[in-house]
Amino acid sequence: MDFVAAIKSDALNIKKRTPVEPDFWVLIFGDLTVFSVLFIAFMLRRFESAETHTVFSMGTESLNQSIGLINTLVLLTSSYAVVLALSYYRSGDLNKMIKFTCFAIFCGLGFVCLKIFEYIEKINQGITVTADRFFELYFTFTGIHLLHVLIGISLLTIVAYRMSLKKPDAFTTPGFVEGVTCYWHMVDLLWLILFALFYLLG
Amino acid sequence: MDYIQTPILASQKMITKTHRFENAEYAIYSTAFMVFCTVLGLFIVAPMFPPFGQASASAETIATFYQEGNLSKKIGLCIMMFGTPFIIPLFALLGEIIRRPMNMPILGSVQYGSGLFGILFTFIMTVCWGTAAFRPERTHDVTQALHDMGWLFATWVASATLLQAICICIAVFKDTSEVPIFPRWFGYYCAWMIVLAFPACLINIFHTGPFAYDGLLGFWLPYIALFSWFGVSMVCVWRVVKKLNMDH
Repeated sequence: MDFVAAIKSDALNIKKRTPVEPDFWVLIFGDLTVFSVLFIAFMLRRFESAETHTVFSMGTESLNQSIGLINTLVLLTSSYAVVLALSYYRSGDLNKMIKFTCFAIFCGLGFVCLKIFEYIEKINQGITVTADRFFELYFTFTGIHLLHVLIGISLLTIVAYRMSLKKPDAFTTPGFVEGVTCYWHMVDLLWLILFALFYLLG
Repeated sequence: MDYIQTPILASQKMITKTHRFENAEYAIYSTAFMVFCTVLGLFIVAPMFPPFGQASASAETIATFYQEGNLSKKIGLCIMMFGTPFIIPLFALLGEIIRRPMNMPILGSVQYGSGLFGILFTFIMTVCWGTAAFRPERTHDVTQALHDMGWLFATWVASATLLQAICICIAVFKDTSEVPIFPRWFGYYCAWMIVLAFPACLINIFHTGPFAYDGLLGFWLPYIALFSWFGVSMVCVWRVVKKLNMDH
Protein backbone atom coordinates (compact mmCIF):
# COMPACT_ATOMS: atom_id res chain seq x y z
CA MET A 1 0.00 0.00 0.00
CA ASP A 2 2.70 2.43 1.04
CA PHE A 3 4.69 1.67 -2.09
CA VAL A 4 1.70 2.29 -4.38
CA ALA A 5 0.67 5.40 -2.47
CA ALA A 6 4.19 6.77 -2.66
CA ILE A 7 4.29 6.27 -6.42
CA LYS A 8 0.87 7.83 -6.86
CA SER A 9 1.63 10.90 -4.82
CA ASP A 10 4.93 11.28 -6.64
CA ALA A 11 3.82 10.48 -10.16
CA LEU A 12 0.55 12.35 -10.16
CA ASN A 13 2.43 15.51 -9.48
CA ILE A 14 3.12 15.89 -13.19
CA LYS A 15 1.66 19.29 -13.87
CA LYS A 16 3.99 21.62 -15.64
CA ARG A 17 7.23 19.78 -15.20
CA THR A 18 9.77 18.31 -17.55
CA PRO A 19 9.49 14.52 -17.79
CA VAL A 20 12.21 12.72 -15.81
CA GLU A 21 14.33 15.81 -15.08
CA PRO A 22 15.59 18.62 -17.28
CA ASP A 23 19.17 17.29 -17.23
CA PHE A 24 18.05 13.97 -18.74
CA TRP A 25 17.29 15.65 -22.06
CA VAL A 26 21.00 16.31 -22.58
CA LEU A 27 21.29 12.59 -23.34
CA ILE A 28 18.23 12.38 -25.60
CA PHE A 29 19.04 15.51 -27.59
CA GLY A 30 22.72 14.58 -27.73
CA ASP A 31 21.80 11.20 -29.18
CA LEU A 32 19.30 12.72 -31.61
CA THR A 33 21.95 15.22 -32.74
CA VAL A 34 24.39 12.40 -33.50
CA PHE A 35 21.77 10.51 -35.48
CA SER A 36 20.76 13.69 -37.34
CA VAL A 37 24.38 14.13 -38.40
CA LEU A 38 24.38 10.49 -39.54
CA PHE A 39 21.20 10.98 -41.56
CA ILE A 40 22.64 14.09 -43.22
CA ALA A 41 25.82 12.13 -44.02
CA PHE A 42 23.66 9.37 -45.52
CA MET A 43 21.83 11.81 -47.78
CA LEU A 44 25.06 13.54 -48.83
CA ARG A 45 26.60 10.20 -49.81
CA ARG A 46 23.48 9.12 -51.61
CA PHE A 47 23.38 12.19 -53.82
CA GLU A 48 27.14 12.47 -54.23
CA SER A 49 27.06 11.30 -57.85
CA ALA A 50 24.84 9.43 -60.30
CA GLU A 51 26.77 6.24 -59.56
CA THR A 52 26.22 6.36 -55.79
CA HIS A 53 22.57 7.14 -56.44
CA THR A 54 22.25 3.93 -58.46
CA VAL A 55 24.09 1.90 -55.81
CA PHE A 56 21.78 3.22 -53.08
CA SER A 57 18.63 2.62 -55.15
CA MET A 58 19.70 -0.94 -55.93
CA GLY A 59 20.50 -1.51 -52.26
CA THR A 60 17.07 -0.29 -51.23
CA GLU A 61 15.42 -2.64 -53.72
CA SER A 62 17.37 -5.64 -52.48
CA LEU A 63 16.19 -5.14 -48.88
CA ASN A 64 13.27 -7.14 -47.53
CA GLN A 65 10.63 -4.42 -47.31
CA SER A 66 8.01 -6.56 -45.60
CA ILE A 67 10.33 -7.39 -42.70
CA GLY A 68 11.15 -3.70 -42.43
CA LEU A 69 7.47 -2.83 -42.27
CA ILE A 70 6.76 -5.55 -39.69
CA ASN A 71 9.67 -4.26 -37.61
CA THR A 72 8.25 -0.73 -37.77
CA LEU A 73 4.83 -1.95 -36.64
CA VAL A 74 6.39 -4.06 -33.88
CA LEU A 75 8.31 -1.07 -32.51
CA LEU A 76 5.28 1.22 -32.76
CA THR A 77 3.21 -1.36 -30.86
CA SER A 78 5.85 -1.62 -28.17
CA SER A 79 5.96 2.16 -27.90
CA TYR A 80 2.21 2.15 -27.34
CA ALA A 81 2.68 -0.58 -24.74
CA VAL A 82 5.17 1.50 -22.74
CA VAL A 83 2.79 4.48 -22.89
CA LEU A 84 0.03 2.29 -21.41
CA ALA A 85 2.50 0.90 -18.87
CA LEU A 86 3.43 4.41 -17.78
CA SER A 87 -0.20 5.48 -17.43
CA TYR A 88 -0.94 2.34 -15.36
CA TYR A 89 2.14 3.11 -13.29
CA ARG A 90 0.83 6.60 -12.63
CA SER A 91 -2.60 5.31 -11.66
CA GLY A 92 -0.98 2.76 -9.37
CA ASP A 93 -2.12 -0.40 -11.22
CA LEU A 94 1.27 -2.08 -11.01
CA ASN A 95 0.24 -5.55 -12.22
CA LYS A 96 -1.04 -4.16 -15.51
CA MET A 97 2.01 -1.97 -15.74
CA ILE A 98 4.30 -5.00 -15.45
CA LYS A 99 2.21 -6.85 -18.04
CA PHE A 100 2.49 -4.07 -20.60
CA THR A 101 6.19 -3.59 -19.92
CA CYS A 102 6.68 -7.32 -20.55
CA PHE A 103 4.69 -6.97 -23.77
CA ALA A 104 6.99 -4.12 -24.84
CA ILE A 105 10.04 -6.28 -24.03
CA PHE A 106 8.51 -9.11 -26.06
CA CYS A 107 8.04 -6.73 -29.03
CA GLY A 108 11.61 -5.48 -28.65
CA LEU A 109 12.92 -9.04 -28.69
CA GLY A 110 10.81 -9.69 -31.79
CA PHE A 111 12.46 -6.71 -33.44
CA VAL A 112 15.91 -8.05 -32.56
CA CYS A 113 15.06 -11.53 -33.93
CA LEU A 114 13.74 -10.11 -37.21
CA LYS A 115 16.78 -7.88 -37.57
CA ILE A 116 19.16 -10.80 -36.99
CA PHE A 117 17.14 -12.87 -39.51
CA GLU A 118 17.57 -10.03 -42.01
CA TYR A 119 21.30 -9.80 -41.36
CA ILE A 120 21.74 -13.57 -41.77
CA GLU A 121 19.72 -13.49 -44.99
CA LYS A 122 22.01 -10.82 -46.41
CA ILE A 123 25.19 -12.53 -45.21
CA ASN A 124 24.06 -15.82 -46.79
CA GLN A 125 23.66 -13.95 -50.09
CA GLY A 126 27.30 -12.93 -49.73
CA ILE A 127 26.44 -9.33 -48.88
CA THR A 128 28.42 -8.17 -45.86
CA VAL A 129 29.32 -4.88 -44.33
CA THR A 130 32.03 -4.16 -46.90
CA ALA A 131 29.93 -5.13 -49.95
CA ASP A 132 29.23 -1.61 -51.24
CA ARG A 133 28.61 1.91 -50.02
CA PHE A 134 24.93 1.27 -49.32
CA PHE A 135 25.44 -1.88 -47.23
CA GLU A 136 28.31 -0.28 -45.37
CA LEU A 137 25.86 2.30 -44.04
CA TYR A 138 22.98 -0.18 -43.77
CA PHE A 139 24.82 -2.58 -41.47
CA THR A 140 26.48 0.08 -39.35
CA PHE A 141 23.52 2.44 -38.89
CA THR A 142 21.05 -0.35 -38.17
CA GLY A 143 23.72 -1.98 -35.98
CA ILE A 144 24.06 1.15 -33.85
CA HIS A 145 20.27 1.32 -33.68
CA LEU A 146 20.14 -2.35 -32.68
CA LEU A 147 22.56 -1.55 -29.86
CA HIS A 148 20.13 1.14 -28.69
CA VAL A 149 17.28 -1.39 -28.86
CA LEU A 150 19.27 -3.87 -26.74
CA ILE A 151 20.05 -1.18 -24.15
CA GLY A 152 16.34 -0.25 -24.13
CA ILE A 153 15.27 -3.89 -23.64
CA SER A 154 17.71 -4.26 -20.73
CA LEU A 155 16.35 -1.10 -19.10
CA LEU A 156 12.74 -2.24 -19.56
CA THR A 157 13.65 -5.64 -18.09
CA ILE A 158 15.19 -3.96 -15.04
CA VAL A 159 12.00 -1.89 -14.57
CA ALA A 160 9.71 -4.91 -14.93
CA TYR A 161 11.81 -7.05 -12.58
CA ARG A 162 12.19 -4.40 -9.89
CA MET A 163 8.48 -3.57 -10.14
CA SER A 164 7.56 -7.22 -9.65
CA LEU A 165 9.54 -7.23 -6.38
CA LYS A 166 7.15 -4.51 -5.12
CA LYS A 167 9.88 -2.83 -3.13
CA PRO A 168 10.70 0.84 -3.63
CA ASP A 169 14.21 1.44 -4.94
CA ALA A 170 16.05 3.61 -7.43
CA PHE A 171 14.66 1.63 -10.41
CA THR A 172 11.01 2.07 -9.49
CA THR A 173 11.04 5.83 -9.09
CA PRO A 174 8.93 7.90 -11.52
CA GLY A 175 12.14 9.48 -12.80
CA PHE A 176 13.68 6.18 -13.87
CA VAL A 177 10.47 4.74 -15.35
CA GLU A 178 9.79 7.91 -17.33
CA GLY A 179 13.40 8.02 -18.45
CA VAL A 180 13.23 4.46 -19.79
CA THR A 181 9.93 5.28 -21.53
CA CYS A 182 11.39 8.38 -23.18
CA TYR A 183 14.45 6.41 -24.24
CA TRP A 184 12.27 3.73 -25.79
CA HIS A 185 10.31 6.38 -27.70
CA MET A 186 13.59 7.80 -28.99
CA VAL A 187 14.63 4.33 -30.23
CA ASP A 188 11.27 4.05 -31.98
CA LEU A 189 11.60 7.51 -33.54
CA LEU A 190 15.08 6.71 -34.84
CA TRP A 191 13.85 3.49 -36.42
CA LEU A 192 11.05 5.36 -38.22
CA ILE A 193 13.66 7.59 -39.88
CA LEU A 194 16.02 4.67 -40.57
CA PHE A 195 13.13 2.73 -42.13
CA ALA A 196 12.29 5.65 -44.41
CA LEU A 197 15.93 6.20 -45.39
CA PHE A 198 16.94 2.60 -46.07
CA TYR A 199 13.75 0.83 -47.13
CA LEU A 200 11.51 3.42 -48.76
CA LEU A 201 13.77 5.96 -50.45
CA GLY A 202 13.83 4.37 -53.90
CA MET B 1 47.37 15.38 31.69
CA ASP B 2 46.62 18.86 30.56
CA TYR B 3 45.18 18.18 27.25
CA ILE B 4 42.94 15.30 26.24
CA GLN B 5 42.10 15.15 22.64
CA THR B 6 38.68 13.67 22.10
CA PRO B 7 39.01 11.12 19.31
CA ILE B 8 35.54 11.72 17.89
CA LEU B 9 36.12 15.41 17.41
CA ALA B 10 39.57 14.80 16.00
CA SER B 11 38.27 12.36 13.41
CA GLN B 12 35.42 14.68 12.54
CA LYS B 13 37.86 17.46 12.01
CA MET B 14 39.94 15.18 9.82
CA ILE B 15 36.97 14.21 7.68
CA THR B 16 36.04 17.86 7.25
CA LYS B 17 39.56 18.65 6.27
CA THR B 18 39.88 15.86 3.74
CA HIS B 19 36.91 17.20 1.79
CA ARG B 20 38.80 20.35 1.00
CA PHE B 21 40.79 20.39 -2.19
CA GLU B 22 43.65 22.81 -1.77
CA ASN B 23 45.29 24.22 -4.87
CA ALA B 24 42.96 22.23 -7.11
CA GLU B 25 43.16 24.96 -9.73
CA TYR B 26 46.54 23.57 -10.78
CA ALA B 27 44.78 20.44 -12.05
CA ILE B 28 42.66 22.66 -14.28
CA TYR B 29 45.68 24.64 -15.50
CA SER B 30 47.48 21.38 -16.18
CA THR B 31 44.57 20.08 -18.28
CA ALA B 32 44.45 23.37 -20.15
CA PHE B 33 48.18 22.91 -20.85
CA MET B 34 47.51 19.41 -22.20
CA VAL B 35 44.77 20.70 -24.52
CA PHE B 36 47.07 23.54 -25.59
CA CYS B 37 49.90 21.08 -26.40
CA THR B 38 47.53 18.81 -28.33
CA VAL B 39 46.09 21.65 -30.38
CA LEU B 40 49.49 23.22 -31.00
CA GLY B 41 51.30 19.95 -31.70
CA LEU B 42 48.75 17.89 -33.60
CA PHE B 43 46.63 20.54 -35.28
CA ILE B 44 49.03 23.40 -36.01
CA VAL B 45 52.71 22.39 -36.05
CA ALA B 46 52.35 18.83 -37.35
CA PRO B 47 48.97 18.83 -39.01
CA MET B 48 48.22 15.16 -38.26
CA PHE B 49 44.63 16.14 -37.46
CA PRO B 50 42.28 16.06 -39.30
CA PRO B 51 43.18 13.04 -41.46
CA PHE B 52 41.58 13.98 -44.77
CA GLY B 53 41.22 10.88 -46.94
CA GLN B 54 44.15 9.04 -45.36
CA ALA B 55 42.32 5.80 -44.54
CA SER B 56 41.92 5.01 -48.24
CA ALA B 57 45.16 6.65 -49.43
CA SER B 58 47.98 4.66 -51.02
CA ALA B 59 51.28 3.96 -49.23
CA GLU B 60 53.00 6.49 -51.50
CA THR B 61 50.62 9.26 -50.46
CA ILE B 62 51.20 8.53 -46.78
CA ALA B 63 54.98 8.42 -47.30
CA THR B 64 54.83 11.79 -49.11
CA PHE B 65 52.74 13.13 -46.25
CA TYR B 66 55.62 12.33 -43.88
CA GLN B 67 58.33 13.54 -46.24
CA GLU B 68 56.77 16.97 -46.72
CA GLY B 69 57.40 19.16 -43.70
CA ASN B 70 59.16 16.32 -41.94
CA LEU B 71 60.83 18.50 -39.32
CA SER B 72 57.61 20.28 -38.37
CA LYS B 73 55.95 16.86 -37.92
CA LYS B 74 58.75 15.76 -35.62
CA ILE B 75 58.53 18.96 -33.56
CA GLY B 76 54.72 18.82 -33.41
CA LEU B 77 54.77 15.21 -32.20
CA CYS B 78 57.41 16.13 -29.63
CA ILE B 79 55.11 18.85 -28.26
CA MET B 80 52.22 16.38 -28.18
CA MET B 81 54.36 13.77 -26.41
CA PHE B 82 55.36 16.33 -23.81
CA GLY B 83 51.80 17.50 -23.17
CA THR B 84 50.05 14.09 -23.01
CA PRO B 85 50.50 13.23 -19.29
CA PHE B 86 49.35 16.65 -18.09
CA ILE B 87 45.76 15.46 -17.99
CA ILE B 88 46.56 13.06 -15.12
CA PRO B 89 45.87 15.73 -12.42
CA LEU B 90 42.32 16.15 -13.74
CA PHE B 91 41.68 12.39 -13.60
CA ALA B 92 43.23 12.25 -10.12
CA LEU B 93 41.05 15.12 -8.93
CA LEU B 94 37.93 13.54 -10.46
CA GLY B 95 38.86 10.24 -8.79
CA GLU B 96 39.37 11.93 -5.42
CA ILE B 97 36.04 13.75 -5.65
CA ILE B 98 34.30 10.45 -6.40
CA ARG B 99 36.28 8.69 -3.66
CA ARG B 100 35.95 11.12 -0.74
CA PRO B 101 32.97 13.49 -0.80
CA MET B 102 30.85 11.11 -2.89
CA ASN B 103 32.15 8.09 -0.96
CA MET B 104 32.52 5.62 -3.86
CA PRO B 105 36.17 4.54 -3.58
CA ILE B 106 36.17 1.72 -6.13
CA LEU B 107 34.49 3.81 -8.82
CA GLY B 108 37.00 6.58 -8.17
CA SER B 109 39.92 4.20 -8.55
CA VAL B 110 38.54 2.56 -11.69
CA GLN B 111 37.93 5.99 -13.19
CA TYR B 112 41.51 7.02 -12.45
CA GLY B 113 42.94 3.72 -13.69
CA SER B 114 41.05 3.78 -16.96
CA GLY B 115 42.10 7.41 -17.43
CA LEU B 116 45.74 6.35 -17.13
CA PHE B 117 45.10 3.45 -19.50
CA GLY B 118 43.71 5.92 -22.04
CA ILE B 119 46.76 8.19 -21.77
CA LEU B 120 48.91 5.19 -22.63
CA PHE B 121 46.98 4.80 -25.91
CA THR B 122 47.49 8.46 -26.79
CA PHE B 123 51.17 8.22 -25.96
CA ILE B 124 51.69 5.13 -28.13
CA MET B 125 49.83 6.90 -30.94
CA THR B 126 52.41 9.67 -30.77
CA VAL B 127 55.22 7.11 -30.68
CA CYS B 128 53.88 5.36 -33.82
CA TRP B 129 53.66 8.60 -35.78
CA GLY B 130 57.00 9.71 -34.38
CA THR B 131 58.57 6.49 -35.63
CA ALA B 132 56.96 7.00 -39.03
CA ALA B 133 58.38 10.52 -39.21
CA PHE B 134 61.81 9.40 -37.96
CA ARG B 135 62.97 7.82 -41.26
CA PRO B 136 60.68 9.22 -43.96
CA GLU B 137 62.84 7.73 -46.77
CA ARG B 138 62.16 4.09 -45.79
CA THR B 139 59.84 1.65 -47.62
CA HIS B 140 56.44 3.26 -48.08
CA ASP B 141 54.52 0.25 -46.76
CA VAL B 142 56.21 0.45 -43.38
CA THR B 143 55.42 4.14 -43.03
CA GLN B 144 51.81 3.45 -43.94
CA ALA B 145 51.59 0.61 -41.42
CA LEU B 146 52.96 2.83 -38.65
CA HIS B 147 50.59 5.62 -39.62
CA ASP B 148 47.57 3.27 -39.56
CA MET B 149 48.72 1.78 -36.28
CA GLY B 150 48.90 5.26 -34.79
CA TRP B 151 45.34 5.92 -35.89
CA LEU B 152 44.10 2.65 -34.40
CA PHE B 153 45.67 3.63 -31.07
CA ALA B 154 44.23 7.13 -31.39
CA THR B 155 40.68 5.92 -31.90
CA TRP B 156 40.66 2.75 -29.85
CA VAL B 157 41.34 4.93 -26.84
CA ALA B 158 37.53 4.63 -26.78
CA SER B 159 38.03 1.34 -24.92
CA ALA B 160 39.43 3.28 -21.95
CA THR B 161 37.23 6.34 -22.32
CA LEU B 162 34.17 4.11 -22.33
CA LEU B 163 34.95 2.61 -18.92
CA GLN B 164 35.92 5.98 -17.53
CA ALA B 165 32.70 7.60 -18.73
CA ILE B 166 30.67 4.68 -17.32
CA CYS B 167 32.33 5.14 -13.90
CA ILE B 168 31.62 8.87 -13.81
CA CYS B 169 28.09 8.20 -15.04
CA ILE B 170 27.36 5.68 -12.27
CA ALA B 171 28.95 7.92 -9.64
CA VAL B 172 26.83 10.91 -10.68
CA PHE B 173 23.59 8.91 -10.78
CA LYS B 174 24.21 7.08 -7.48
CA ASP B 175 24.72 10.37 -5.70
CA THR B 176 21.17 10.89 -4.45
CA SER B 177 22.01 13.42 -1.73
CA GLU B 178 19.97 16.58 -1.33
CA VAL B 179 22.59 18.74 -3.00
CA PRO B 180 24.41 16.44 -5.46
CA ILE B 181 28.16 16.96 -5.81
CA PHE B 182 28.10 16.89 -9.63
CA PRO B 183 25.23 18.34 -11.65
CA ARG B 184 23.13 15.49 -13.05
CA TRP B 185 23.50 16.65 -16.63
CA PHE B 186 27.20 15.82 -16.35
CA GLY B 187 26.18 12.18 -15.88
CA TYR B 188 23.90 12.29 -18.91
CA TYR B 189 26.65 13.98 -20.89
CA CYS B 190 28.97 11.09 -20.03
CA ALA B 191 26.24 8.62 -21.06
CA TRP B 192 26.09 10.39 -24.41
CA MET B 193 29.87 10.04 -24.70
CA ILE B 194 29.47 6.29 -24.19
CA VAL B 195 27.00 6.14 -27.09
CA LEU B 196 29.42 8.10 -29.29
CA ALA B 197 32.46 6.03 -28.40
CA PHE B 198 30.94 2.74 -29.59
CA PRO B 199 30.90 3.31 -33.38
CA ALA B 200 34.47 4.63 -33.34
CA CYS B 201 35.61 1.11 -32.45
CA LEU B 202 34.69 -0.10 -35.97
CA ILE B 203 37.48 1.81 -37.72
CA ASN B 204 39.52 -1.32 -38.38
CA ILE B 205 36.83 -2.65 -40.76
CA PHE B 206 36.45 0.31 -43.12
CA HIS B 207 38.76 2.14 -45.50
CA THR B 208 36.11 4.56 -46.76
CA GLY B 209 32.89 6.05 -45.50
CA PRO B 210 31.83 7.50 -42.16
CA PHE B 211 33.34 4.66 -40.12
CA ALA B 212 36.85 4.92 -41.53
CA TYR B 213 39.36 6.71 -39.31
CA ASP B 214 39.01 9.85 -41.38
CA GLY B 215 35.23 9.64 -41.47
CA LEU B 216 32.37 11.23 -39.60
CA LEU B 217 31.96 8.50 -36.97
CA GLY B 218 35.58 7.40 -36.88
CA PHE B 219 37.05 10.85 -36.40
CA TRP B 220 34.82 13.91 -36.28
CA LEU B 221 32.08 12.99 -33.82
CA PRO B 222 34.28 11.14 -31.28
CA TYR B 223 36.95 13.84 -31.30
CA ILE B 224 34.46 16.68 -31.02
CA ALA B 225 32.89 14.78 -28.11
CA LEU B 226 36.29 14.11 -26.51
CA PHE B 227 37.53 17.68 -26.70
CA SER B 228 34.21 19.10 -25.54
CA TRP B 229 34.39 16.58 -22.67
CA PHE B 230 37.73 18.02 -21.59
CA GLY B 231 36.17 21.49 -21.46
CA VAL B 232 32.96 20.37 -19.77
CA SER B 233 34.69 18.26 -17.13
CA MET B 234 37.19 21.04 -16.40
CA VAL B 235 34.34 23.46 -15.72
CA CYS B 236 32.36 20.88 -13.70
CA VAL B 237 35.32 19.82 -11.56
CA TRP B 238 36.27 23.45 -10.98
CA ARG B 239 32.77 24.29 -9.77
CA VAL B 240 32.62 21.21 -7.53
CA VAL B 241 35.96 22.05 -5.92
CA LYS B 242 34.90 25.65 -5.34
CA LYS B 243 31.63 24.48 -3.76
CA LEU B 244 33.37 21.92 -1.52
CA ASN B 245 35.99 24.44 -0.41
CA MET B 246 33.27 26.94 0.47
CA ASP B 247 31.22 24.37 2.42
CA HIS B 248 34.05 23.50 4.77
